[in-house]
Amino acid sequence: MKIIRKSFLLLLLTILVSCSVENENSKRVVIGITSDIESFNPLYAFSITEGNLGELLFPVLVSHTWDFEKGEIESDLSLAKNIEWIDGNSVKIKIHEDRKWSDGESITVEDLIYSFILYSHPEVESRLFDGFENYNLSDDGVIDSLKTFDKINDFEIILNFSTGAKPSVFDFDFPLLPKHYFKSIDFIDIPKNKFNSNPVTGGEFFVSQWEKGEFIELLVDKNSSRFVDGNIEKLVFRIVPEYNSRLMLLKTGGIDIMEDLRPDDLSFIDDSVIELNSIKGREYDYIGFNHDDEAGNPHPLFSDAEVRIAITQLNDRELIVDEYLNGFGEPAISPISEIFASVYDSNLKPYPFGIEAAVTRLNKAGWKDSNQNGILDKNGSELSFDLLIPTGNPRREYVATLFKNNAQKAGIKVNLVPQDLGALIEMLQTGKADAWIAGWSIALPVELTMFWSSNPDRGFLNFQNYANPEMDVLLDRIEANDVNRNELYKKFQKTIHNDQPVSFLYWVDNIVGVNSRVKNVSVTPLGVIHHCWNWRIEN
Amino acid sequence: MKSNKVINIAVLILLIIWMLNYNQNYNVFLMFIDWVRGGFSTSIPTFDFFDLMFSLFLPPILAASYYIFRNRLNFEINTNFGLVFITMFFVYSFLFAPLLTISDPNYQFNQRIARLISPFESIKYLEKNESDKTNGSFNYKNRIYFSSYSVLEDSIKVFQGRNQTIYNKRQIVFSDQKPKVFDTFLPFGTDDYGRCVYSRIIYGTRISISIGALSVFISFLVGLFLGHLAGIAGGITDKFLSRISDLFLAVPIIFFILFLLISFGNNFFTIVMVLGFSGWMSIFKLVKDETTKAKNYDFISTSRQLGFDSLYILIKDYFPIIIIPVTTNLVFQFANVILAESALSFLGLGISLEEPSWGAMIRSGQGYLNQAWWLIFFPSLTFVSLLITLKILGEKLVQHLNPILNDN
Amino acid sequence: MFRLLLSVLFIIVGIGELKINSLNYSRIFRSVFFRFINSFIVLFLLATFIFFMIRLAPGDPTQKFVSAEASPALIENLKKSYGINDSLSEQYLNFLQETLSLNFGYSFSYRTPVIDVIKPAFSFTAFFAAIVFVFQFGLGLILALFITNTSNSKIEKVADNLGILLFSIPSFVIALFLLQIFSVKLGILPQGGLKSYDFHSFGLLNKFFDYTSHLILPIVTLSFAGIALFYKYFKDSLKANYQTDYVLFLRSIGTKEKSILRDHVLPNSIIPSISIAGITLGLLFNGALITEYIFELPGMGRLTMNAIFARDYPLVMGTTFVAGFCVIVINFLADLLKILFNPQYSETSLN
Repeated sequence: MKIIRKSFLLLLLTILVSCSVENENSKRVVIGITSDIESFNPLYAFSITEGNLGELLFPVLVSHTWDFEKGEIESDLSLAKNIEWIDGNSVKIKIHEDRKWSDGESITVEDLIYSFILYSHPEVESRLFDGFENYNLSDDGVIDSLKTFDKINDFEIILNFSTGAKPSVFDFDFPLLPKHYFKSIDFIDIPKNKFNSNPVTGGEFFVSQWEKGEFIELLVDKNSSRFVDGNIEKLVFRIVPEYNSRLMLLKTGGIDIMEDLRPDDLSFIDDSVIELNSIKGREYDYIGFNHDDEAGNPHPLFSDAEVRIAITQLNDRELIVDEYLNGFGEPAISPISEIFASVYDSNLKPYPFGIEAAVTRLNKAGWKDSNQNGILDKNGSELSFDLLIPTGNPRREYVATLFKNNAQKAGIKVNLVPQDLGALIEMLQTGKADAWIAGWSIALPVELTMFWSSNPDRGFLNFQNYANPEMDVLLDRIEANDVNRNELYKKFQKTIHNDQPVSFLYWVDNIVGVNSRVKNVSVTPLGVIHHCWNWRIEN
Repeated sequence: MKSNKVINIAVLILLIIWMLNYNQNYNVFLMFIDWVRGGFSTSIPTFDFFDLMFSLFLPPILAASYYIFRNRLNFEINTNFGLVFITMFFVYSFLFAPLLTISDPNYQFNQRIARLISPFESIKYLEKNESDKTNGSFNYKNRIYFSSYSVLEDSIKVFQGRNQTIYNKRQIVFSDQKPKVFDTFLPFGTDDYGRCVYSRIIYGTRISISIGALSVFISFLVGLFLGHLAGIAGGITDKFLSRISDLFLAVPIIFFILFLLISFGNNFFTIVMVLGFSGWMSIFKLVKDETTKAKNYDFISTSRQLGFDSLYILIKDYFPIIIIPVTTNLVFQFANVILAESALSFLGLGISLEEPSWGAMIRSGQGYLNQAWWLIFFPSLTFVSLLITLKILGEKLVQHLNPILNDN
Repeated sequence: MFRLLLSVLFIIVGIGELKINSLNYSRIFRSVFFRFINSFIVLFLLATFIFFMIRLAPGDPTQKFVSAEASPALIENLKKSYGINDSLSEQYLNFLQETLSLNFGYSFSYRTPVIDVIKPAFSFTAFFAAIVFVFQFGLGLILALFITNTSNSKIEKVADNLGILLFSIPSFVIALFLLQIFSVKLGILPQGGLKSYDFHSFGLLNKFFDYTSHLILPIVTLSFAGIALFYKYFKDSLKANYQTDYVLFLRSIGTKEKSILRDHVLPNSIIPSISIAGITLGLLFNGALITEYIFELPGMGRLTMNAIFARDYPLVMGTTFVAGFCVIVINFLADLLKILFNPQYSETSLN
């Protein structure tokens, strides 16, 4: 009994004494992230954080910045000293001669060549596998070294693309890997190699510590050409899965930068301590419809554009943007966002919200409430469908509920069906879903074919089975870098707007909170962490 | 206080609450078939009259019949006012939810002003002249919710958050030269979707109780069947079934439920099935033990020798023996299932987005921990009081059914 | 060997007056042996069951690669190397082979062996479960002793009602209220996680305090129901034991109250609680999913749930197998202890 009593006292003591010690560090920036990375290896950088880390840790030939005026990506030289295009089908690249890997070996074009092989080899299973259309490939998909690479010396090389290709810097902007490390490893063992957690790096930063599930700590390479004395020296990614904890840490200074702030919380954030920025136009939500039914025939409800437009009109997008997104977003018209300033068509206006207008449109399309039960019908079948919602996204749940209630007023019966993400994706791929609510984050530069092409091989993300011959022609011409590119993009937006293959809802801004002691943070569509070697701490 | 008296007072108080809250927007048919809310039309005028009469007279008739027949309901349970009141409250909410509530649980007030209103405040609206009841209680087309308004010469400017709209004076209901302001009192405030929390809690009773009752019924059937089988057959069958029940006890049940929900989707039916099939083990054990014991009783072997079929023997001979220990188990099982359902909803795996499950309400409150305490507080309070009531009822039942304990 | 094991167990437990020599070893050995075999059959059934459940669920581990950047050819390639294109029976045989050699394979989503992923989660869960169990058992016992000794019926009534209240409140409600009070309103305890970011730079004492401040709320959350359970159980059995004839006899021959409690009443009240204790501990070992979820603790429950959502087949198999194994082992040990204290038990229940 006495022992128990004593230990109880000890416990009480610990409760009373417990407090945490703050360790101030003037050269350190802490970024709160939602989930841990799987690997440092840029071959497997599937998540956004992994992609960012790859660019910081490994040498890249070119690095990107965002040109707000043109709405395009601008490329700066990084590892490359000089890039010279020869007749548009080959490129001569000269790289800096003084760059070294973290184990002391110098970076040469051999690493460049081997990186191409690694990225394209089927056994490596890298994220870019099957993505090298502009190169000459051998039968198994690997880049054909003989045809592609003309090595001039250790620091100069010519890359030859396949005939007819329209190459750009995006064909060789990926992080490079050290050949001397990988040459002794079988391709098939690379996915499990310890390089994933303990890499040989060569970028502006190197890994100092990775405690799984807790934090990732990077230190700046002071020999790097981009390092300026007085800028930050340590970058910490702290993994805090729960949103509220992350927010609390941001407010108390436990983390300096946090992305994806919820608009509802902005009024509780002190602007003098936390600076709010937003990344516009990278992510939109939509209500998707299957244009075919399960047998492959036109869908009884959604093959009609009028029905789709009516559904778009039943979403009060202004209200969602005003009230739920607190103004951090705008109604979406097409998958091309406003940030692509030169191709964006500002003449198109979103379909206005209106229950009466939607009902009129539906009546015109033949949907009438003939049996007076409050639900519209046509040819004996009712206008009612299941709307699938991936679980665990409060914004989409909110929008779906709002839509369901508006639809009910208009005489459409919507059943909201929460669905586990894995099961939902399988349903989308097999065409079993009728209608769903989801979102895409768009690639930079903009990608269209895979979402809207009716060709099953090329439009592999066209879950809505949208088929419009005019659109296919348009997409082909855009792919082929036609001279009237901007005109074509505008035509594309117009077609999409008139067709509404899916109901576009809104663009969501990624609201970023940055502690005001961190200066020089540039928030662009490319992200926050971009160019973080420029950051500086001021108190 | 004598228990009958206590029950009488509780019934009376609930009657008064019901009278005060009576809302003619709802009809009685809706309150029983409400599971498919919106699917049934409420617009046919002849129904309205009938419903009104029915819903007005039903509770008095029920109360009267209770007073007439109370002497035949001959049971005395030591009980107190609070317990009876809470029990009656849940029974009432379950049966007459639409009559106790303020609005449809899924009705969203105007989003521009009604998100996260704190408790005990009311939301104000002007009414349009045109009457509109086409879509029943759900579609208040003639209500204009406002945060403030200003009267201009021949029009009225209505502010709704950042939005403002101008209405013609003739469109709006006036009294004494001023626009007539109506209001809806929101006792527990609104949630982040702008829905009345109080109404959702009341409707949540239906979800919890019906899921609880149906799942327990399934558990009971499965447990009874398998337990009886194991008890009668013994030997290999018994061993095999016992291993299966061990298996179910060894799998973390929550993961088992996760698998099933992923495979079959989350809806009312699957949740009931999943919870039912994951809770049969204790009943199985009880039934098995009782059956094994009873197998050798004289009257049972007599029935068997007389040639009655086994179903008959089960119902007539075994059932009365089995039912006593099983009943008390079922009450506790009921509480567990309700708990499990809201735990699932809390993890975001509940029955659906729109049905007002308490667990889901608490979960949505988790996102507004530092803004809206009422989102967690009121559903938790109701939920915990239901669980406690069930626990106490279960214990009372044990005492009632088990005379040895009763003596102590 | 078996005798040695029994005496070791006896020393570990060290409660009660046992006459080990009078036990009938061969019979006990037989029943324990059959129990052991049964446990393994259940474990095998469990593994098979989980295997087919997860494979038959819709979705597959490549779902996270569906994006504009990954090509369909890559996904096909990954499916092949994950081995999920093989037939189900082939996969099952493969799985059995690997499990028998205690190798759960590589986790799809962590790119490391499953064992390495499970190890930290399991050690946390075991540590956490042990602490919570000690709290539940210890505080329940202390409270029960306190209440039986003070013959104040009002205090007892208050304690009883509090017990019912604590036992009925679901853990997620308790957790949210505690968070609301201690983290949001008062701001003295962290909202979640296991340790602060600066943890590795702390001294030993601060490290300890850091852990404590992070674990107080989860432990309190998880302990409440158990404390109430054990309190009620111990109170009832203490009272029943005090009313027996042998206590009357002991009192009449002038044995000290302290000695009656320590040597007779207490052991007799604790022994029957072993099976409840076993079940409680087993549940805790499964990982308290909801507590882990709210407080973001790196335990088995959350690991398993995330693995199921990501369809990380090897990891799901690993975690459920380990958790099931723990439950079975703990129940087995509880049965063993019961036999130790009460040899008759082996005849009635273990057959």
